[in-house]
Amino acid sequence: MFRRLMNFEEFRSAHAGEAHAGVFAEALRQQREFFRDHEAAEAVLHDGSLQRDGWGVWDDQAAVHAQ
Amino acid sequence: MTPSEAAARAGWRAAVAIGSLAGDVANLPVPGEQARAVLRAAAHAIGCGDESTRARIAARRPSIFGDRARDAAEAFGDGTAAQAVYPILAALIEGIKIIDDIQDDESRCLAAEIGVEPALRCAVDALAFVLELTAALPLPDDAWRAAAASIGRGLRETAIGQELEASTTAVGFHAFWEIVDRKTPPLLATALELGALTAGATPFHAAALTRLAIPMGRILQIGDDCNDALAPDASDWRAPHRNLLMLYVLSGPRGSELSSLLAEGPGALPEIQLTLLREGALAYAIHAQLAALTTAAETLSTLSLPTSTPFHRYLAHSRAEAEHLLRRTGVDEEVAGRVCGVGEAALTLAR
Repeated sequence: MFRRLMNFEEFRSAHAGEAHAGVFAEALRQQREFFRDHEAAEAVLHDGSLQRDGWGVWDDQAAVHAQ
Repeated sequence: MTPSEAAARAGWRAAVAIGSLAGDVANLPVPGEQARAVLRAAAHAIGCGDESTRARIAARRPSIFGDRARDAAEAFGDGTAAQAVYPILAALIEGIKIIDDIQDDESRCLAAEIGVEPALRCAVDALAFVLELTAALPLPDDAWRAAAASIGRGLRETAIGQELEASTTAVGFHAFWEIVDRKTPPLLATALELGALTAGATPFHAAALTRLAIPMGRILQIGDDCNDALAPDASDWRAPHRNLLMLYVLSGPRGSELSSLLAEGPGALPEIQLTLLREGALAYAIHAQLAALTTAAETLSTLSLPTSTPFHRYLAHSRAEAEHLLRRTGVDEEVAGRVCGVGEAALTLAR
């Protein structure tokens, strides 16, 4: 589990695989690979996963409206 | 300053004034009934009689703020007690959202339907209605004063944070989180405090819960930014330095490329969104979400609550959703579970 908020630069290093961040580094590697696939990235954007899964929103009415 | 920005600024100033009024009345050295009467009179003087505004407030679904009020009430033994403050939270959100939409020049909002000035009037109506609802809140005197002060503080500080966001020219990692911590937690603090008070917590114990507001505010704002960057009708491309995902990429090696895409306007949105994903902006948002969840859990462990189960449930749910999101974006089940601490969260809940 990751415990501390990294700043952007620290995170970029972790994302690029240049810094060791334990199991999180492995998650980043797998996600980076996934998004290299153009079709997979587009599918995630278009199937609504990113709206429905995991994000609370400030204004529920707006979220309902958007869907 | 554009007409919309000027109108939004006027709206935030009105919100600050109404919030300050509630706080001042809560502290008036007069009997509680008199203080309530002053608040009612102020509400009617400002004007809270607009039926359409009341209808919109009544039609609002229970919000994430209502959920946290319910959790706080449940932590003190009676989750249903929080229902007494749902209308107040709904009226606060209605007023704030109208002004925020004016500030952001949203294409689908009340101001777009009826015009900026009438919408601003509705926002002020909604916030005045907050005062009327507060005056009627069925709480003992000391709890009522704490509630009125909390409502006033939540409104005033939210409006000041929103104004800061609109006016600041500072950009970057530190400026971003400073603005988030100013604009989002105050209303969550109010929701937590109100929920606890309705369930019979002392003002002292209710106020202690507000320590959860900063990490919970971050959790909320990160989710909001993800929606505003990645949804089909994403709108934050107009103020990209105020969106976590866009700021992350703008401040990195492909920042100028994203700037060029943003300059093309909404037509470039699909390419903008793919760039955000490939550059790790969503990964950063998930990381920030997990860090905020950890901070919230640590803060929770320092609070002496009759039960912290409702908050642990919320945190566990958020971790499970983050895990689901990681799995949906190519991370295998075992790694996603370990990153998100889902097993650990389940153990905490089971204790």
